[in-house]
Amino acid sequence: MMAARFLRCALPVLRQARCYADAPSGSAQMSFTFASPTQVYFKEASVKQVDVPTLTGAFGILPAHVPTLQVLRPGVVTVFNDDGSAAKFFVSSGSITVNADSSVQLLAEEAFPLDQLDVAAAKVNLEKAQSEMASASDEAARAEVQINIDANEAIVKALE
Amino acid sequence: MVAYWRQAGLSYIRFSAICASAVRAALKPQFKVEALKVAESSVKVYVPKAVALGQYQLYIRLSMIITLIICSSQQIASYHH
Repeated sequence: MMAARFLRCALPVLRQARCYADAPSGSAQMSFTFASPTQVYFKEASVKQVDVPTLTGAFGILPAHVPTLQVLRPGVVTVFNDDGSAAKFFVSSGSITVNADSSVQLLAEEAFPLDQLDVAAAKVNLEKAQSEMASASDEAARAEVQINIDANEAIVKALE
Repeated sequence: MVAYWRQAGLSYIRFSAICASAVRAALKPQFKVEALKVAESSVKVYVPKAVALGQYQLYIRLSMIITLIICSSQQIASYHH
């Protein structure tokens, strides 16, 4: 009887049965969707890496990134295609979703390729916003002007 | 860490709207026309005047009364079963 119990306990080890966590089963590809309300830039495309500017900081997303939901701030999104080329877009705001199956959805309120933006116009708007700051009455108005300043600063920084 | 605009009472929707209009304002002229056209058309702010609202109040009251009558008649009907 002792032998039977010993065999029962020892059987899994003898059988080489182990209980580790599963190896990550995701494919080495990410399905990337990037769109604004008016334009779709990438639709379930396979890309190598995407750099995104979020409210909590800028980070790069590779396949098998940990699932996350983030909101965007004005900044540059860089998409590294499979063939090595990089495409840059300026996004105003929006959200990014990374799912467990490595699909990434980047939905922007406004997104344009960098060459559609005018650095001179951005500088003029920045100066106008900075002068508006002095005449802002309450905290909410000040915050709105500050958002405008930050957005224009991000555009100028992206284009220089 | 709370963002300065959140502390001032603004929502992310408002933040997003201001950023979007800042980006649209910095577009090159040939793209700006198109973007402004699309942006203006998606949301149209309609402020109903107080006088016009008064005309609807009678309609709203009548429909509420009718709904109440229907509900109560249904309750009476189900009670009989």
